[in-house]
This record gives sequence, structure tokens and C-alpha cells, in this order.
Amino acid sequence: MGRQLAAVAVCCLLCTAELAEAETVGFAGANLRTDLATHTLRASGGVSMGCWSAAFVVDPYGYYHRSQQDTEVFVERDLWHGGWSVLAGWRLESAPVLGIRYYLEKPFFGVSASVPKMLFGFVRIRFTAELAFTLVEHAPDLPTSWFWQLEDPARNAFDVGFFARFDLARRL
Amino acid sequence: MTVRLAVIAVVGLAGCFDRRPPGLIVCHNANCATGTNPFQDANLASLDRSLALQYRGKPAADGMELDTVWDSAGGRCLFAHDFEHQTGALGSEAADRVAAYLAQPTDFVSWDGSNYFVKIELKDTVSAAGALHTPEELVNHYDCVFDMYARITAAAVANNRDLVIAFESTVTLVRGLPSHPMWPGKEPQDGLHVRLIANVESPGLHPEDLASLRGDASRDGLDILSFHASRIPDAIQQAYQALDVQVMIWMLDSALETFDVIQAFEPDYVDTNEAVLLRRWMED
Repeated sequence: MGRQLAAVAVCCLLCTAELAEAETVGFAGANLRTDLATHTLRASGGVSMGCWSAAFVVDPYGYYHRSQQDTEVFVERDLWHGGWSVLAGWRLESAPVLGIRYYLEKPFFGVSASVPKMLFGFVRIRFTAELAFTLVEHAPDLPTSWFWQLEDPARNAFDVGFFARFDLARRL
Repeated sequence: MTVRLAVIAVVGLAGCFDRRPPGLIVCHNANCATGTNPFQDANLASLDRSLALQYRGKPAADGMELDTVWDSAGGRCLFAHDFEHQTGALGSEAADRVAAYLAQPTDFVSWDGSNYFVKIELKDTVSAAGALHTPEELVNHYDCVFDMYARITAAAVANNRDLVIAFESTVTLVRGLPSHPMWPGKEPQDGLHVRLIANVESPGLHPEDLASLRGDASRDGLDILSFHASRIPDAIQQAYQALDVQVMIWMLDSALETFDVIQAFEPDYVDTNEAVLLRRWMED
């Protein structure tokens, strides 16, 4: 176990060492998922620098149809280039409930795997597994529910999901 | 020893996460004996088959959905899911079949015994072209479903059944029911309960509905929200789960996602075309 942790640490250090000479890349694309945690297709964009990247995801379908809307930001760190990475982010969900909007605050964590860059790095594809945690649900005219107030929070406050990202990337 | 403990722990954890919620099983569209088939929805033959459906010697379902449409052209209240598949059967005929079922000399009219659930749905269109009710047609449709209510409750009371009758439609149509002269109130007598259901996507819900949705039967608001099992994004279902409202999940063909939603959200009612499959899944 200690050896594995050390290996991860070395990878991160190597990655950090590259940061000084790293290029900055902007990317934008689609965020797709097959489960019902969010809408199937959302739009995403962000910037990566070295082994770090920051991204945001918006939900045009949800905004347009005034249904569930999922907006999120996350940061991601490559453990080594072209391979695995870890990410952490925050999702603000807004759902139409009893005629008003009810908000769900969901921090999430995940692990991503990249497929080899295509078209000279212009196309990037990543698959991600995430664990989302419902911290609190609230609205102005409805009761607020913190995760410990949920029935069976160990079961109902956590969601496992999978999504794929298809981005077009360009050096900035 | 360590391996054995690990196996026990894994099995125990699997048991925790494989909990089968004890929701009431309702026959979707009076057609739950032979699986999803829209061509057989809401006709008297399917209703008879569904009422007769058994699992392990007991009724497989806990309740029945009776769909009604007001036929503008014929001035009739049909027992039908839509105009395309209507057979000419009347709502009163369907109600009489359920009344006869409740009058049978048996201790078991549902899986649990002598209690039964009937959902009477009012479709909001009055023609195949999709026209909506005129005010007069709406009164006639209300008259029809209250007549069905009277036929079924008379049999239930006479045979000491504990009966819940729920009316479902759009929020607007359901809100009109308590203004009707035949509205009996939510708790008209011991063993008889009246409830109002609307689809969660129907416009017109408001935060004041929360009290009745949480079980306050002293109010005339909505009591139960219905969801399609796998068409509604998770956050909406999670929000209603956090608010602890009464939920009915309806479904067409069973799929892994359907069972996952039932496990995750533990609905009070499951409205299904596959009553035996659901019963077996819940019980085994």
C-alpha cells in the first residue's frame, strides 16, 4: 500500500515538475452520460495547464426546457500525462419542485481515464467515474434538508455515476 | 476464518443494498396480467384478467387503475386509456367489476388482505383530435367518476374492506374535484379514504401542497405525486424524497433502471403492467 502511494506521489511530482514548462490549452465540448443524474448531453469548457485543468459544465437543455438544471465546476489533475487523473468539483442542481426551483448542492469526486489524443491532440476523450454526495437541498419556500436529515443517508446521499467528455482542444 | 468473515460481510452489505421496498402494487391501466400491451389497456377483458391475477394463492396486486375519458361526440364516460383503443365500455361497467370483486367472500382482495386501492384517472382530452373539456363536459366527467366512486365504495363498505380511492388527472382537473357537490372529503368514514394524485410534471403545483403530500388529510390539496420510473431526472425525485412526500411510480416494461428507481426512491405505490414480476421481485 505504501509503495502504491509512493508511486502516485512520484507521478504527481513529475507532473508538477513539468508545470513550469507546460503549455496552456483551452478546450470545449460535450459531456455525455447515460444515467439520470443529469441530462444526457451537456456542454463543457475549460483550461488546462500542465497536469492541472479546470472545467465548467452547463446544461442548455435544462435551461431551455426549465426542467432539472445541472451546472458544475471541477478541477482535475493528471496523475501522469495521457493516462489517469483525479477530479473534484461542485454541482449545483436545480429541480422544478412544487412550482418553484429546489436546489441540491452536490460535491463530487472522480477518476478519469483518457483515450490517446487524436488529430494531434485536437480531440480529447475522457471517461470518468464519479461519486456525488448530496450535501444539502434547499429552496426559499420549502424545508431545507441536510444530508444527515435524509432517510438512510448512507444510502440516499451518495450517487455513483459515469460520464464521457468529448472536447476539442487548442493551445492558447 | 478471515475469508469467511469477509464473505459474511459482503453478503450482509449486499443485503443492505438489495432491500426491496414494500410499496403497494397497482395494476397499470387495468392491464397487469400479461405485461405491457397498449392495445389491451383499459378494457373489460384485461380488467377481469387483472382482478383474477394470483401469486402464491393470493392476489398479486394491491389495487387497480381505472382510466376514464369523456367522449365528447357520444356524450359518454368511457372506460378507456385513449380514443384509439377504446372498446365502448363505460366507466360504470368497470366500476361494477371492481365492486363485484370487493364483494367476493374472501379475506384476501389484495396481497395484504382486505384492504384495496383504486385509482380512477380522468384523461384530459375529450376527442381523438385532442380537444379539452368544455366546462359542461368537465362537470359530466366529474359526475361519472363520482358515480364510479359510489359503486365501488358501496361494495367496500358492505363487505368491510379498507379502501383507498384516489383520483388522478392534471393538477387543474384534480383541484376541481373538491368543489363538486358529490365530493366526500378525504376521510368520509372509517375504512374509506379519498386521495388526489397528479403527475409531477403537470403544471400548477405549489409549495402549499406540501402539507397534504406529507399526509395531512384534513386539507383538500394533492396527496400523491406520480412519476414515470425512468423518465424523470434524479434530482427531481431526490428532492421529493427529501421532502418526504407520498409518491407513486408508474412504469411500462420492467428494466434494471426501473428496479433501481424503486429501490432508490422507495415509492408508496408502484403502478405496473407486470404485477406478478414485481410481486416476485419484492417477495423473493
